[in-house]
Amino acid sequence: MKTKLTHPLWTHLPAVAALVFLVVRLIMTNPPSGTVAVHFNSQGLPNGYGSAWSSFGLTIGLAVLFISISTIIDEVWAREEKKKTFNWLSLLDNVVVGFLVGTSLGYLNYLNNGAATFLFPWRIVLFITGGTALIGVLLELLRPYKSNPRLVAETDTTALEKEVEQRLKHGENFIYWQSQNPVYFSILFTVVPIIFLVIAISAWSQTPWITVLFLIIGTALMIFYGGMRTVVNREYLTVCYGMLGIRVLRIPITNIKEVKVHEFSALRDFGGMGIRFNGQMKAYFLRGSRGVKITTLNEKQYLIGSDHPDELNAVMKAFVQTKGNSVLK
Amino acid sequence: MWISIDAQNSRPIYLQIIYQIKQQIRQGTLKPGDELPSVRELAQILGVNMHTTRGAYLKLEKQKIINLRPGRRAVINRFILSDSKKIQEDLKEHFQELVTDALLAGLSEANIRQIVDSELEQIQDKGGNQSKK
Repeated sequence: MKTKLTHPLWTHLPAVAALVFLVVRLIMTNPPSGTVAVHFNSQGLPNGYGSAWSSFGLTIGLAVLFISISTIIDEVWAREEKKKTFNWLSLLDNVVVGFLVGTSLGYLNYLNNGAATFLFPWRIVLFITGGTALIGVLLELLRPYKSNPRLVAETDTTALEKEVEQRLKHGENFIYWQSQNPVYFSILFTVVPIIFLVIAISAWSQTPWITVLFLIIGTALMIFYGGMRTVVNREYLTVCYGMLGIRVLRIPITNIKEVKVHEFSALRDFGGMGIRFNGQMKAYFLRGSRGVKITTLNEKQYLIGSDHPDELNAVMKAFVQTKGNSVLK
Repeated sequence: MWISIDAQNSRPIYLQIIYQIKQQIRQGTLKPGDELPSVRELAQILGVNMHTTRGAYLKLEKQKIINLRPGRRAVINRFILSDSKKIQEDLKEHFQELVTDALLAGLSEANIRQIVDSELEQIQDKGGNQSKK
C-alpha cells in the first residue's frame, strides 16, 4: 500500500542541504583521526578529549534525528490543517541543523588550524542558521495547501443513543468505557523509566542522591503506563490516566449543559497531546483529531479526545438527556 | 465499549457481561485489537465483585474471544474461530438446554421456531444495514 505524504518534502531542503555541505566539507578536509580536544570550558580551553569523528558522527546523527522529527511534525500539521496556515514548527529542523552545522564547521576550522583555544564560531553559526531559517520561511510560505479528507467516516449512532436511553430508563447500571493507549505512549512510559532506573543504579556508588531522585522520577513516570480511559456512568464522566487510574477529570452528569463532536488539531490548537489548556477549553487526549466537547452549566469547556467520538457523543447525549437538563445538538 | 447490568434480570451478572461483549463484537462496535477494561477496573466501575468480572473474562478467553495478558488489558482477539466443530457442539448443547427450558415453560415448537427465526432475521437485517453503510 502506497502512503502519500500531505506535505511536500522539499520544505526540509535547507536542513538537508546544510547537512550535505557539512559531510562534503568533512570528506574534503579529512579531520585528524587520533585523540583531539572535543570539549571546552567557557574560555575555549580544552577540558575533554576524544575522537573528532565521533563528535561529527554525533552531530550528523542529531541532524538526521531532527530532520525526521520535523518531517513527522510537518506531516501531522499538514494533515490537520483545514486551510493554509503558517507552520512555525516547520523551521525546527532548519534552525537546529543550521546551528549544528555552523558549530561543526567552526570546530573543523579549529582542528585544521591547530589553535590553542576554541572560540565559538558565532559568525558562521549565525550565517548558516539565519540562511537555513530564512529559506525555510520562504519554502513554508510557498508550501501549497492540500486538503486531506477525513479517513474515518462519521458513524450513525442513533440506535446506540436510543438503546442507552432505554436501558437508563429501565434502571440498569449502565457504564461506557473507552481507552486511548497509543504505542508512543506505552514506549515513552516504559523506555524512559527504564533509562532512569539504569542511571539510578549506576549512580548509587558515587552520588546516592541522584539514585534517589531518578528512582522517584522513574517510578512516577511508570505510573502513567496504560494510557487514558474515559468512563461514563449515571453520575459522572471520568477521565483517568495510567496503570493506577489517576483521576484527572470528573464532571457530574447533572452539570453538563451541552455535548457535541468537536474537530481539532493537536498541534495548532493545543501545541501537543496529553492534558492541555488553550485559554478556551481544557483538553484530554493522546491521539487523533476528533473528540467530544463538553460545556458545563457554569460555561466551562472540556474536550475529551476519543477514538470513537460519535459513540461517546451518543452515549453522553443519552446520559444528559435522561437527566433532562441539556441543550442537545 | 458499554456494559449494562440489569439487577432485575435472572441471568447472572457474569453472563450479562459475556453476552454484551459478544453482542458488541457481532455489531462491530468492538473490533479485533480493541482494549477492554482490566478485571479490577471493570469490577470497580460496575460496582460488582472482582471474581464476577474475572469469571466473565476467563470464559471469554476460553472461547478464544479475548486475549488476557498479564499486566496488560484484555484485548479482542484478532482470530475468532468461526467454524470449528467444538463451537458447533457447544452451541448444540446450549440450544438443547434452551429448548428444554422453553418446552417446560409451555411454549410450542412453532413458538420456539418463530423466536429463532425472528432473531436470525434481525441479525441479517442489521448485517445488511451495516454493509449498506
